[in-house]
This record gives sequence, structure tokens and C-alpha cells, in this order.
Amino acid sequence: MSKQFVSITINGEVFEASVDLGKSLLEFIREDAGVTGTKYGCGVGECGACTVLVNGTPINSCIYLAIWADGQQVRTVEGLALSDGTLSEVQQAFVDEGAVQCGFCTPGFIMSVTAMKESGITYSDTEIQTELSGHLCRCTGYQKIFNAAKKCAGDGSCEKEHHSCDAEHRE
Amino acid sequence: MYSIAYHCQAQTVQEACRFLDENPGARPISGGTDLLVKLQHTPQEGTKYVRVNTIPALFGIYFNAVGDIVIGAAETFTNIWQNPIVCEHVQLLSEAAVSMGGPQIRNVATIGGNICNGAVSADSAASLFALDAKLSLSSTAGSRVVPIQEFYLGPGKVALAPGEILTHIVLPRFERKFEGSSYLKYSMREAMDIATLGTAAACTLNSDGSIRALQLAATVVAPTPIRFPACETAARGIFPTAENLRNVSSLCLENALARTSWRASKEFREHILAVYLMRAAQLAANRALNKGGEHHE
Repeated sequence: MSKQFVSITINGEVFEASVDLGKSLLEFIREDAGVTGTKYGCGVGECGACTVLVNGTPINSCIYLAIWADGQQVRTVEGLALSDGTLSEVQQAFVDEGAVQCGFCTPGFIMSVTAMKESGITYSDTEIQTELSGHLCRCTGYQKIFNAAKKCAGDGSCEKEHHSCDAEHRE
Repeated sequence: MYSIAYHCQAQTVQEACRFLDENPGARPISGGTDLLVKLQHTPQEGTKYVRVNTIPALFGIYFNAVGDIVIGAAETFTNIWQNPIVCEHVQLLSEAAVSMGGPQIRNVATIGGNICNGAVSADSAASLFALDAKLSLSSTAGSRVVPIQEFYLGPGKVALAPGEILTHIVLPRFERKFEGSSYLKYSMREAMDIATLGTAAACTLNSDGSIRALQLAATVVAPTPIRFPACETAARGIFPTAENLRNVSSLCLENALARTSWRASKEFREHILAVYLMRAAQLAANRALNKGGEHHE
């Protein structure tokens, strides 16, 4: 026995396939379901680019077997916007705060921030950093991603004044 | 794609143990966050797996009849971090849990897997050593309890016999009840990093504020996690001042066997070991002091 039939619900849609036991959930999402917003970054659970929600919980899908998601609810970045294209609050916050550059890390970050927002918890700055510590971004330097997260799940304020070129902040 | 020849999900401990008995070379798999990564580097062709974090009996964090804290081996690091019993009574384990990996890993990784992986740097290890944790292991032949200090045999090696799975971790209710504890991890990054050093302290004070007991443990300064008998003996009866704790922790090199690796040199590790043991002890003692009025019997 080296294959198993799985039925995995992704963004409300059921995908069924006979998969290799060793197939990762990430591979299933991208290849069997054809839902490619979730990215392969490092493949070893260190960068967070593959982050999806399984039953509402953020996990690294590259180190999670597809067979473990059998019968479970998976949500990816594609499942956030409304059918008319209206972005979710989290997605819109990322857009508004300029938190997207190349966009490769973005789906993963957005899934984690979505989970944070849906928890109903108001996160302190330190807690936001902790909740997002499983994600790497090579482009943005994180500040704007942090601002977007804070807007959605923190105390709502957003600090836009941290410009390194701002003369007032030079010491 | 991982090389997995066979995979089944156990619902009971006996089911899992029977599978291991009937399939020599088969392995239990829990959260998989270590195991799957290892499989990428060294594919174990033909290995069969039985998933154990599907066994209801391996879950739960509760007091048993004699007041020990019992933690199911399949409990995730996130659950342990946030659990009220852990936070209230064994705070160091909560701190250790949140220091491991990042949120996505913590949501899946289990304490049982962390222990059985036997890594020298395991984030749960120092705290469990400081607490004299006992491990409950089951096989088709029955169960046995192993003190954690006898479970770690060397880097990556633990005393888990073929056919056995770890079911529970028991944190004994001591004749003395630990009132303050802490876990300090030294690593290059504040998340997603292996410990260069992990130190744990659990402290009980006498009613006059002197130390009744101080238990210290560390990872990554020996082939297994270790305690510090010399420091612990010296700590008994003294007051937890900075000066005293510095003197106590300076005895730590008696049984440390630090080595030089790409992360840090032997000399650096020995240096920070003394500093971190002192800080962990101070923090534990301060927390014990703050809880002072409530627990003295």
C-alpha cells in the first residue's frame, strides 16, 4: 500500500484524489487541487511561505502530509476574497499598508494574520511579532507587514512614521 | 514528497504498539515536524509509520490522583505554552514551549516527539530535567515509567525500546512544591532557532526566603541534557542574592562537557552557561518570592 484516497476540502471545495502516502499537503494543494497561491519556499518548515489554515490553525503545509488533511478543512489565500473580488480585511490591509513587494511570502503571512484576526484576540506588538515569527520576508523589512497585522489584529493603530530618511529621527 | 512505505493511524496505544511489534523497523510518527524534515535529508526507503497523535489517550494536561501534573505525549507546543496548569505551576515549561520553532511548528509539533527525537538541544528537555519528569512508556507487554534523566542516552538516542511508545510525561508533585521556575534559551535569533544553550531553573524557598531547593538543568553543554548537582547542593539554605547565585552557578562546569561547533565555541558555551544558570536561578527565585505567601505549608 503506497497510495491512499483522500478527500480534502480547500476553501469550501472538496478535492479528492488517490495520493502517495508521502505527498505533502503543499504538493496536494498546488498539484492535485491546482490552487497555487500557497508557495513552496524552503520545504522544511522554516520560511512560512507554505502556511495554510487546517481547521483554522496555521501550519506549514510543506511538512504536513496530505493524508493527514483527509476529511479536514483547509483554507488558503484564494479562499479569503468574496466571489465579487472584494478583498478580505486582512488582504486589504496588506494592500493599504504597502506590505507586498514581490508577493512570495504574502499568502503565508496573510493566512497567519487571518487566523489572528479571526481569533478575536487583540494582540500586543510583541505578541504580533511572536505570531508572525514563523514567516520570512526578503523584500520588505517586515515593518509594513507588521503594520498591516497590527491594523487587523492589534490595537488598531498604525505607525507610519518610521522612515530612516526622516531627519527628525536621526540621532 | 516523502518516502513513506506504509502509514496507518492508531486509535489506541495497544493498536500502535501491536503495529510496531508486527512491523520491525516501523516507527511512530506524531507531529512530524522533525521526522519529515529528517526524511528529506536521509530518505528512509521502505519505512512504515504509525501515527500516534490520533490516539485520544495521548492527549490531556491534568492533575492525577496524587497531584502530579500529567501531560499527554501528543500535546502540541502551542497547547502546552498556553495551558493554565502549566502556566501556573510549571511556568518554565510554558516558556520552553513558546521558545521552540515558530507558531506554525508549535501548532503541530508534540512534546512526545520532541523528547523521543533525543536532540541535545531539545527545547522541552532542560525544563523536564529540572522538574525530574517521569516518562510513561507503553508496549504490548505493559507499561513502564522511566525518569527522564535515564531516557536520554546520547545525541539523538533515547531509551525507547522497539515496540514502545511514549504516552505521558508526569511532573511529580514534590514533597517540596516548586514555586518559581524559568527557562532561558540562548540562540542567535529570537525564534525559529536551535538553542545554543537552554537553561532551566526550578526554585522553592523557605519561609525566611532562603532556598529550600534549587534544581538546575541545561541542554547543549553535554551529549545529553544534564543537571548540576554541585550547584544544587551549594544552593541549599542560602539566600538567592545575585552574589550567592553567581557563586553557585560558577560551579556548573563540574559536569558540563561543552563542545565547539559552528554555533559557538566550547569557551563561549561554558561562559554563557554560568551566566544563564545564574539568571535562570535568579528569575526562578524572584518568582518564588512573589508567590511566597500562597504556598508555604
